[in-house]
Amino acid sequence: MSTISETTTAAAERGQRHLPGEEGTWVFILGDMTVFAVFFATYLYYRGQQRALFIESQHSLVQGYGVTNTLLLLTSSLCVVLGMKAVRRRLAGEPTRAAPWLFGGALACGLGFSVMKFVEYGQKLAAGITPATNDFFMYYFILTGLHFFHLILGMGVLVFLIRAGRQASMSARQFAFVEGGACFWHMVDLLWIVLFPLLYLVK
Amino acid sequence: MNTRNQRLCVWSGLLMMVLFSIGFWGVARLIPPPSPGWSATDLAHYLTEHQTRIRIGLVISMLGVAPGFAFPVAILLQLRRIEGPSSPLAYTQLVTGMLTPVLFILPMFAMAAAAYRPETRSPEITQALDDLGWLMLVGFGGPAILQNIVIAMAVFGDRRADPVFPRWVGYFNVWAALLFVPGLLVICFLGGPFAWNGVFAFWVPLTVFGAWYVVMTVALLRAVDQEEREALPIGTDPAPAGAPRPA
Repeated sequence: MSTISETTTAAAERGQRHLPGEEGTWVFILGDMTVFAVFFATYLYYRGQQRALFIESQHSLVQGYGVTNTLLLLTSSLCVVLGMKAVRRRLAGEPTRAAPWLFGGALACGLGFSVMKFVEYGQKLAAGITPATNDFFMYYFILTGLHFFHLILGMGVLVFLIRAGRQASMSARQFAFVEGGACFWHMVDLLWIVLFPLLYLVK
Repeated sequence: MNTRNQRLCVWSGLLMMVLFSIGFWGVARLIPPPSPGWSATDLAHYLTEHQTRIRIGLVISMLGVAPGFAFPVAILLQLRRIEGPSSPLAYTQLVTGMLTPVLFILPMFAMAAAAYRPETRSPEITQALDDLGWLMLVGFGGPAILQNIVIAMAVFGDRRADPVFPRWVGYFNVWAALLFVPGLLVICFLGGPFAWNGVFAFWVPLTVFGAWYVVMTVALLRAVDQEEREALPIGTDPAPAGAPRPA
């Protein structure tokens, strides 16, 4: 069905903006990001109250894990962008089969992130560090845990995208759902991009 | 079909929120909540000093919560329009939604017991009762979370040409479900943002809870209007003869 690419290109030619996904997706995504913003502000507020403790605890985090996870998520977002381009090309009639592979690549990055998280959590717990250790580690575990929860939901979304990427035709509503799923994955990436410097780097 | 009574059920949700706020917030002044970090003696002293207004406030809010039983019925009636005669999601919503007012009243009784005779008994007993009340009120998010998820499932599954609820109502419910989760951590914290007077356990869920009633009320009123229009025989003008047509 070529109607989707026709509507988006026609909108682009008229200089109108194309809103990716359904409107409702953005109620959820912007709502979720607002709450994370409140989380980050609270973290910074309490950090300001106990600066020395937070900086000292921060030194025990391994920056290498954070950097690797950042790179994994950035790569996964790139895969999702390329995957969406492949989906559009396929719906426009090109015989490309790249989309499921690209979404699969993003899923592999997500799995890599999960493995790193388990290793990191495991090392902390083995060293006797728990959320009860001090306020920094309470935030560390809750913020990264909440992000990890979103990442797991996002991997479910990617499985859905892999299946959708195989289709040669889609209704406008299905396409909007696929786009919304891609946006959700970008949000998971974006939240980590903020979370990583807040927990690992802020001096 | 009785849309007048259905609209009464819809408005009962906001009525509950208003009456609850008057009693709990305005009269008893239990918002912001007394800190879990207070010593037992301080708490007993506080409850003794403000005993009268806390009692009167609790009476008002316990009665005020009663209209809240009608609200999930309004949601049930509209979800049944999506699901048809066999409506598993609509009834799951009803069962979970009915618990909300119960889970307001029960903790308020624990708080009432704490304020019952704090001046004569050992302060630790008063503190234990007060703990029970606040932990229950803030931490009992499970039924509300399931209710939101069930509503979202029904909204996303709506295959009617003219859906009962717009799809963003579904996304809003998923969002609300996520935000009630931090409240469950309340049993682990004596202070900070996840304690029962903290940002994430109390203020965020309270805001979302209020917003949820407003959003659902607007969405339900529109759905009842739509139901009324659909019930008219085809070709009938919904506006009475001679009346100006709504824009």
